[in-house]
Amino acid sequence: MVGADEMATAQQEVPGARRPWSKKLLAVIAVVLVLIVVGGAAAYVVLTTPPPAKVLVAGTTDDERTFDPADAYDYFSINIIQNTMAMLLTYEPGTSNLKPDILSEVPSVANGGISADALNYTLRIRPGVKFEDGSAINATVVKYSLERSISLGGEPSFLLDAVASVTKVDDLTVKVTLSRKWSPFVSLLAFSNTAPVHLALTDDRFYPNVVISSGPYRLAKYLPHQRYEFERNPEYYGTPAKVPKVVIVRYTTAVDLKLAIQTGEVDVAYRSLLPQDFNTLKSDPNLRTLQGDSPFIRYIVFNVCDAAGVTSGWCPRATPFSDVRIRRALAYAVNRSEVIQSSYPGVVSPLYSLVPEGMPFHTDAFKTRYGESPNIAQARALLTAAGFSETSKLSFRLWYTPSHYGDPELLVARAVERAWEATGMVDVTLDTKEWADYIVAWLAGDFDVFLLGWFPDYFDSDNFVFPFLHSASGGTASFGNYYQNATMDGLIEDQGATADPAARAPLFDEIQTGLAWDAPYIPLFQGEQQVVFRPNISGIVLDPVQFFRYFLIDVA
Amino acid sequence: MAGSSGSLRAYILARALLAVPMIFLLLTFVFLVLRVAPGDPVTTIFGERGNPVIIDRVKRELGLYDPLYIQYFRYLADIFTGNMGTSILTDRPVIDEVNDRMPATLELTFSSMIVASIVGISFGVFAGTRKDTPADIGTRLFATVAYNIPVFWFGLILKLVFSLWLRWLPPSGRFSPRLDIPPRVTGLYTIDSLLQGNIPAFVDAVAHLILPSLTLGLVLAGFFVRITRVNVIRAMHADFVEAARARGIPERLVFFRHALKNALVPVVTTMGLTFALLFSGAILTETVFSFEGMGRYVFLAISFRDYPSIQGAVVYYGVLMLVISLLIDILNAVIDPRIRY
Repeated sequence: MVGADEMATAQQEVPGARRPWSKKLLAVIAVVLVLIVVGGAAAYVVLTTPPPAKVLVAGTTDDERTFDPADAYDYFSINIIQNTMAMLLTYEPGTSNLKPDILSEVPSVANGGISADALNYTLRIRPGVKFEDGSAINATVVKYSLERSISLGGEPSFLLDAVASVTKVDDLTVKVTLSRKWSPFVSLLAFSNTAPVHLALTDDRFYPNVVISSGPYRLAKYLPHQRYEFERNPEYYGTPAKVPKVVIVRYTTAVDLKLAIQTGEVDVAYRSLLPQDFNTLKSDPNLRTLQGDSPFIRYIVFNVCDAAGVTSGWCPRATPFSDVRIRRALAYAVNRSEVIQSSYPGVVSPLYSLVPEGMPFHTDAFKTRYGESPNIAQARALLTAAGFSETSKLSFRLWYTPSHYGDPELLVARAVERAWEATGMVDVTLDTKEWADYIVAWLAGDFDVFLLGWFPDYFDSDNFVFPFLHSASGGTASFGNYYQNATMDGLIEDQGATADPAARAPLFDEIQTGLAWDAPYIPLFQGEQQVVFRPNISGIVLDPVQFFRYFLIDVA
Repeated sequence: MAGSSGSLRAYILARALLAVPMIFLLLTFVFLVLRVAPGDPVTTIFGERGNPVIIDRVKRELGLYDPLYIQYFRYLADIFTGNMGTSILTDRPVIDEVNDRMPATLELTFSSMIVASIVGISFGVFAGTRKDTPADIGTRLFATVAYNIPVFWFGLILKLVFSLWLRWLPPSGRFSPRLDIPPRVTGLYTIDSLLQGNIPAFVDAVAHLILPSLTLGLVLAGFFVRITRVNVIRAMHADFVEAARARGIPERLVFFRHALKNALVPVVTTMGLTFALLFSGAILTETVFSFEGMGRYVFLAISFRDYPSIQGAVVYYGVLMLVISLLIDILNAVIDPRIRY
């Protein structure tokens, strides 16, 4: 028997009696944790010193979708293809000038590559070009690849809609016949969906994970969505790549990419650092930076659907923005400098046309029509004419999508809102949907005014006007814009029918002037490319077509 | 004993049979929710450049125009024949996507659980045996802060300190880009590098795990500390503990043989379920440390309405959760025969 007093004593002693062992346990745990961190770190530093081999390590936040040229339609997938596969044509580094790649010449009327009626293109193939397995790239391969790209109906296949037939003329010559005159077809020969693919890609299906290389590098290894390793392709016909091996690492966030270049984990950081991070890294003495033009554009879309359009079945519902006076008023009021300063300071430039600066035929049509700075007086006059006042304001929602274009998108929307509300006659409500729902809503014509962006499919100025402004392109409807103008349609068709720059220039002038006059879109800014690299890196070229060439980069 | 093991067998069988309708309900629920949500995968993936003809063809190929009940039965038939389908977003079999990403999640989950268990249980015991003392209050404060700290913020701070300032540890990813990844056997870099006998690769893989597992592990530890502490306090005042003391058993033995064992039963159950939840991917930790695990995969799949990927992932999670729940139930039934049917 234990007495009541003894029990009480035992209970009181409990806490004190347990302390020695738990203190020891805690001490052991603390030591183990410290050992894990410090020991792991020390071992990491000592044992993982970079090997001396010449390897270029690049970091990106981009992700791949498919390596099949017939289906690739996103920047990074195409960039991998561009570095591992030779194209029919390519671009002079640093320019948007076409030059031969697998073809021995750029087709033109002068060299007989384009027929007098502009419907037949003769593709003459460079002899001796091979895939990495040594098999030849000849007319059979080129014909097969073009037909495959059309018949499989991949994402970019519509770009080849104008192709009526592909014929093998001889072992090194292919003839492509178009169903209509369309001069941008030459530019398409430098796009990935016309790149010759190996005849082993059979069975009428896509091969998203297979690259049989014909370019400067071969894809030696890759971990989907994480890591891509290039090795020099010994069978490449052209100048060998500068560095024998390239490793591209994908980071989930821009912050990780910044840390990776700061800590030396990567040699090059390309696409996409946050604007403020890029500006910080510019002043880092251990790093170098480059900026260059980009064909990426951002703009405001108006849903211009009117009552007549609804009656004819062209568009789903009429909006206030069918009144051109309102669109012009908002074009007068928009403040591009504020948009850029608040969201992308120093890394984008103002845009006054849908055709970006650096592309042929660009004009500053909106600057000419509405001025460089906001003109609030003109905006108010037009709004007054349209029946609005400070007591009876024009009210609408401005839609944006919060993550697809990056975190600063909210700042872009706010800057536009502020500029328009500065008229005192407009009441803007910002609203947002995630990308998946955003697409559905604009395709259904649910938005009146919204923000969008565009990266061209092919590097011809046609790609900045046809999908946006030609009513038969399917584009104006698929942009949720519903613009329809017969004169504009005719001008766009005329410029596409001729390859002569002298003939196209005045047509593009008229198109851009018409665009500014009708204002179905308001161009805001065009992107710039930024790259950060370590001082031992050379040979980086940022060209206007945004073809990032790993094979020209060297490591000292 | 025979009766006892028979009872356990019946219990296991009953639990396993209950799992079947649960999986069925889960599959049905996921199927319906995806179809009710606005947007469809093809339109979303093709975006503003979508050619209506191609979109129409792809939708037809995927059977999205078929009546809902036909899509449903096809979906069930595929799953029960082991065909998880092909991701609409990546054109790769869902099973391949899961195989690529699972090892990252496995490594992160195990290492985080090790940190969380060590810190959580030890601090919980420490506080529980010092109820209402300054040490207890301090530990509870630590637990509250740890549990409520935003993972992305904590991860970023660790990266700034250990990667950018001290340059001790890699900031992100699973493996150094300057080293060759060990040949895949399990997909776990730590194991594969050891199998290859590649010590620098092993150290590199472990070093890449330290910051993410500390981030996630310490946050979870905050939760485990509180649970452990409560249960230790309860056990220390239970009748059987008092009885043990009354029999004159040394306090150390009373604690280890009687109090701790009983205190840890609910803790182990909670840990098991947390462990299962972590398998579904700690999306914030994966994002902060560029770990391409299951969390990121499911996030992307949901963003793009990639039905096969979401459905495949849910099937995998559902089965995993049920298996782990079943194991926990069995473990508890073994420890405490009173909970058997």
